[in-house]
Amino acid sequence: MRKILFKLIAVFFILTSCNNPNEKLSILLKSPEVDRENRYEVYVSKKLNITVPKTKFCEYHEFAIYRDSLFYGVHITNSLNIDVYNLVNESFAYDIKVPEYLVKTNKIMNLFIQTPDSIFFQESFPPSVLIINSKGDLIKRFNIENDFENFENNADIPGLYSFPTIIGYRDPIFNSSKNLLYLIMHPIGAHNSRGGYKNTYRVGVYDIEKANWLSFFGRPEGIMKFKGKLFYNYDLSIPYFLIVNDTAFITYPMDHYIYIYDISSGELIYKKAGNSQYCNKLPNPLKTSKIRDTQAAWNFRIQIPFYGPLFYNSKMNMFTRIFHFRQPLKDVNGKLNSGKNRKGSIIIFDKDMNIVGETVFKNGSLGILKSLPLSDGILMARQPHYWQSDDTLVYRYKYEIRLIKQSE
Amino acid sequence: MNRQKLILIFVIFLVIIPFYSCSHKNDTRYKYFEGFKFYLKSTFKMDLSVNKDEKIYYVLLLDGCEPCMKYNSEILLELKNDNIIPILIGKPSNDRWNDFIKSLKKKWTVLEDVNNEIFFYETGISKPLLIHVENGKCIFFMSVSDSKVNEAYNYLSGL
Repeated sequence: MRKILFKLIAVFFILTSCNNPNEKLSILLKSPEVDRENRYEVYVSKKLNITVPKTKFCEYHEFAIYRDSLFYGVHITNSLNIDVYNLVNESFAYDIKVPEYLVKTNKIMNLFIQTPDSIFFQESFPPSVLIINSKGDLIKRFNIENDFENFENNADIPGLYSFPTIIGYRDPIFNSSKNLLYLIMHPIGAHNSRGGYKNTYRVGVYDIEKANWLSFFGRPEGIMKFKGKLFYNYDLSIPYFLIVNDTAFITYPMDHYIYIYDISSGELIYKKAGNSQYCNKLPNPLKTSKIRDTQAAWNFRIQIPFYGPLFYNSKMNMFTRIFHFRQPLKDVNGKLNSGKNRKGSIIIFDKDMNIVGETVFKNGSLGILKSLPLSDGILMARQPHYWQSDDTLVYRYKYEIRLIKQSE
Repeated sequence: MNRQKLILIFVIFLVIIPFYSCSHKNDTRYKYFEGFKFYLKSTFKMDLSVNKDEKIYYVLLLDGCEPCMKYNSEILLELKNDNIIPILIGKPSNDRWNDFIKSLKKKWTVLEDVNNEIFFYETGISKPLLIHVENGKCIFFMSVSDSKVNEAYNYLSGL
C-alpha cells in the first residue's frame, strides 16, 4: 500500500507541475562557459557638442546613422520630419519634411539610410516600405503585406506575420548589389496549422526589382525555440538582425548566443556564445496568465537583464554587443525603477566572434536604446539625468574600441 | 487517525493544491489599489486613507489609440455623476481632443498627469481604468477595454 501511494505521489508531482520549463530551456538560460580574453575596451574618444535648433529636439525616438557622419532622427511629436545632423561639423544640417499624404499612419518608423538620397523607412499599417530622397520625395513604395500573398511558395509560409516597428533596432537592411531588402518578421497567432511556432521565420528577403518576396529564413533558435508555451515581453521576443558581406547575424534580446547564417542559402552555419560575463542566467519566460497581466509583465520587464543589438564596426573588423544588467523593481522612493542608474556593458568581439573584451558602464552611463554603430566604436547617449540642456543633441559620446593588452 | 489515512489525506491535498495554484482567477478586484493610492498621494497629494469621500476615478491615456479615445470621450461627455474625477495621462495625440478636455474641465475637477508619472507606479494601467473608492477602499474596478466601454457607462450611470 505504501509503495503504491509513494508511486502515486511521484507520478502526480510530474503530471501536475505548472508548466515548468523543460530541461533544454534551463540549460540555454544559463550563461555558457566560454573562453574570453580581455584585450580590448571601449573608451570615450570624443564628446560631441551639437546645438539643436529651437524647433528641434535633443532626443529622437527613431534614429539612424550614415557613414559615421550624418545622424538622422525622427521625434514622436513631429513624426513626419527627419532631422539631419552633421556629426563631423557638429551642427544641424537640414530636415526632410515628408508629405502627410505619403504616410498613412503619420509615423516614420524603422529608418535605414542607404545614401542621403535613398532613405528607407517602414509604415506599420498597411505594412509598407517607402524610399524617399533627401527632399522627402517618394522614390518607391512597397506594400509588403499584399505582395506577401503573391509569394510563389506561399504554402511554405506558416501563418501570418507582422513587421515590428516602434521598438527600435529592427530597421530594414538594403543590399544594393543584389537589390534585396531584408526585413524582420514576427509571427502572429498560434501558427499551429503548418508545423507551429518553431517553423516560423524571422527574416524576409524582398526583391525590390520584382516587388515580391524572394525567400524567408531564420527559424527561432535557442531559448526562443525551446520556450514552449512560455513568453517574454513583446520587444524581447523579436530578434536583432545584421548583415556583413555574405553573412547574416541573428541575435535575440533573451539569448546568449549569436546565430550566424549564410545569406545566400539562409542556412544556419553555426552559433557562437556571445554572453556577458556579468550574467549568470537569463530569467525563465512567463506563463500566459502572467504575460497577460500588463503590470506583472511590465514589472518583469523592468527587472530582467537583456541584450541589446549586435553592431559591426567595419574599420576595426570587429563586433560589439550591448548588455543591460538586472536591476531592482523599485527605486529608493518606492517608485518603479526608471532605469536611471542601470548598469550595462559592451561586449567586444573579434572578426571570428570570439569575445575579446567587455567594458562595464555604471550609473546609467550606457543609455538604454540610445546607441548607434560607428566604424570604430559606438555613438551613444547616456540616461536622461546626464543631459545638460534641451538644446544639445544627447547622442554625443563617441566610444572607440582600443587594444589594451597584446595577445599572449 | 492511523498512518494510512494520513497519507491518503496528504494525497488528496496534493491533488487539490495544484488545481488552485495553476488556475486563473477571473475576479474584478483591483489588485494594484495600493499602487494607485501611492500614485495619487505622490503625484496629486491626495491621501485616500485620510479622504474617505466616495469618488470614482476614471484614468484615461490621452495618447491612447483613436477608437479608445473616441469611445471613452463619448461616455464621459454624457455622464452626469458628480463624483467622477477624470485623471488625464500624457498629452493628446491629436489637437482635436483639446475641446473634449475643456468640456471635462467644465464638468469635473480634472487631474492632469502630463509627464506620464503613472507609469512609475504599480497601477495596472494599459487601458482606461475605472476605480470606485468609498471609505478609502476600492469597491469596484474595471479595466475598460473598448468592448467594455458600454459596461462602464452602465455602471457609472446607474450609481
